[in-house]
Amino acid sequence: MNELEQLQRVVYRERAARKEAERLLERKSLELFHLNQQLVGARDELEERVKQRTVALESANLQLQEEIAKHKETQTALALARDKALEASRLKSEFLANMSHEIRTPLNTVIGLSNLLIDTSLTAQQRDFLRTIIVSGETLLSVINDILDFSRIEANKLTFERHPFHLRQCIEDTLDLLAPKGSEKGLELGYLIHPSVPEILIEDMTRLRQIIVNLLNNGIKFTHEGGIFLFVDAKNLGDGQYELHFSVKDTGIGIAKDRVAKLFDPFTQADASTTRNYGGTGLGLTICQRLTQLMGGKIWVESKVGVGSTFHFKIRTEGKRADTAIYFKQVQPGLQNKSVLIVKENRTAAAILQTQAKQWGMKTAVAHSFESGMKQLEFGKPFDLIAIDATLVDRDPASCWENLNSVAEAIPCVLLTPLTAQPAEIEGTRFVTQVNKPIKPLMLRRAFLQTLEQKAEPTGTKLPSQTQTKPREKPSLRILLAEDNPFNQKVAVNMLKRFGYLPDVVQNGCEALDALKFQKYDVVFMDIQMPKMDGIEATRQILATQSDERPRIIAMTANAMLGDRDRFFKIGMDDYISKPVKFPELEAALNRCFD
Amino acid sequence: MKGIVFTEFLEMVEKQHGWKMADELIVDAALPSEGIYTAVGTYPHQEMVKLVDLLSKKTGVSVRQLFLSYGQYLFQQFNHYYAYLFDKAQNTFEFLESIENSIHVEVRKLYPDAELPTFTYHQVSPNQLIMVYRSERPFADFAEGLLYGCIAHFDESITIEREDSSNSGREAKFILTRAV
Repeated sequence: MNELEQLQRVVYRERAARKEAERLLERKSLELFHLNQQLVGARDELEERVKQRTVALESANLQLQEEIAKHKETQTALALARDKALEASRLKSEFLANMSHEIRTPLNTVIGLSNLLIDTSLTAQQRDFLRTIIVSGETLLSVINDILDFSRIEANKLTFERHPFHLRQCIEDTLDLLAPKGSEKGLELGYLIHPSVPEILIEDMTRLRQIIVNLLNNGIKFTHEGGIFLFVDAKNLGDGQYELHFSVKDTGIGIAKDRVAKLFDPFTQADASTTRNYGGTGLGLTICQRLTQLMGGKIWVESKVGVGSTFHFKIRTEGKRADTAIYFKQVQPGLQNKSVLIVKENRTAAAILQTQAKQWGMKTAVAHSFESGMKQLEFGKPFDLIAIDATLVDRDPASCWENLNSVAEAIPCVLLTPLTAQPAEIEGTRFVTQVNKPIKPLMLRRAFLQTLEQKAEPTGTKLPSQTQTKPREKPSLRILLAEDNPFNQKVAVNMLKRFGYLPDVVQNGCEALDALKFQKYDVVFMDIQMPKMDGIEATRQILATQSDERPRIIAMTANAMLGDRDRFFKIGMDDYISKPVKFPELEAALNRCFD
Repeated sequence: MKGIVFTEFLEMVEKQHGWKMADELIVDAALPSEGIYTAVGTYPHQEMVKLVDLLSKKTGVSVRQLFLSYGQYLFQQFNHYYAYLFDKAQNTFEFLESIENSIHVEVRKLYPDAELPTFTYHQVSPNQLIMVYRSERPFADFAEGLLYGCIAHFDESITIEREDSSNSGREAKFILTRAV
């Protein structure tokens, strides 16, 4: 092979290599082109997707805006509805207040006149009808009060007026109020305050009383035999704060377990037949529950069907100790080491008496029947004193006294008598003192001391009860009654007449002012809502013009809405009684005129 | 094996022994590709082995020595063609450590199908680097030649010790020690 041929081979190889390279590059180029196409496609697809998403987003956005607008509309509508509801609620409250006034005014007349009528000469049937009218009227009144209270609590409009008061006094007053109802059914009422309880509470007495009255009333209503007892004890929380625990124990029909849970719900009673048999709104316990809650406590019940119920409630309150307490708790010199036999059927009541007597330092024994009492007198140590329930004696007074005289002629007796009982027929020369039930420690102590003292004197004669209040000697009062309603006038005038007063009557505030110019009065009973000039304005003018020798002004109104009492005192009125006026309230108001 | 290894090899033969030697080498080797190499193509590595074997016979220089000198030669050529890859490194160790993470990455961009050897590194001390070569093909000598080329490029005084894990030339440990 010559050099030329070899060169040609090399050139051929180089050309082939070049073509091969060109082929490879073209293929690569094409690959790149296709890849680029794919990229462009992918980009376009992405752009398209972005567009679609944007459109979707925009429509979602639009929907959102629409929804926001809708929400705003709803909000506005809701706010409007709320305002309307609040307004409606306010109107309802106003309506209730007005209605309360409108209903109470004629009720006042009905109850007042019925009370006057019942003392006139009537046939037995008429008297019975009249009694039903009075009871129904009073029931209606308590229903109205319950509903008013409930609506006030529901509207958060209840305010508490906390003032110092004596708890014992409050409880005794409450028991006195309910004693007639209790003794009518032959039920024992009693109370025991544990020494841990402060004597003075700083609390809204009216509200506390409301709870106690409600629970006692329920107890009386659902108990047919036995008694209702109130116990109070306390836990000192320090800094003058106490947790008071009240329990109201009855021996009534009891409440089934499955009813207990719903007991405190509004408008429910243990069951429908309860309403038929016992009446009531079913609001009482609800009100009690809310009140205890507002006083920082709670209310609950333990009950057993056929055995009885105990309603407990606790409240937190400020309290103070007071010296008067010594009276009830400490050993009494005149009673110390004296022995007393308590003859009383009701075990709880007997236990309360025994606890009290022991606190005074006395030696005690208890008998739960007349017979066992007689046995103790016959065979036991001699006693200084016998405290015996009058109901045990009354079953057969003659033989009882004979029995008593035969075993314990010389031992003086304290007779525990129900409120409604006639003075007992007592045989023999034994010294006997009577104490009215519900028994108050103060009265019991006095009776014990008196009885023991009298025994020491040889002339043991019968004395009338020392513990019953005598009618008060009343100085004359000049009274002016400002009242527009002729029926109310009639009731008030007749009630005042019962107390021996003859009031002058005027129709409105203007006439009251005229009358005062003409003559001097000691007391003005002032209705609040009157035409021409209302009681508020009239009071203002009286206070402005007659500052020196002004009469005592007593507000007298059926307007029982919240804060009224405060308002009356604030403008300078001296006292307040709510209509329908009841004898005890009127008497108390008149008595306060002499304080 | 990438075409550039073949084209550069033949160019080196031409430079050192004349174009006739290169042509004869191709013809005598009776290669399947007929020696029509282009830098952008890929060819069986056996052809390279055959060419170097034949050159050794014709010149009397050992195969190892031929691979070592071709490695050094090729490094210079790479430096010439791809200067931008070489500028970043300041010295031999830096450059070597950049092969896996930088040079081979660049190579794969152009030739996704390239079958590259792998290197693992262990910097024992500032002046000593252990580098392990692993490949599907028995070119440890060639790699060693490239290492010498690199050391020469940076004009450093570095000695190479080599430990082969097997005789196949597919895996070798190079211990590079810089003279202080």
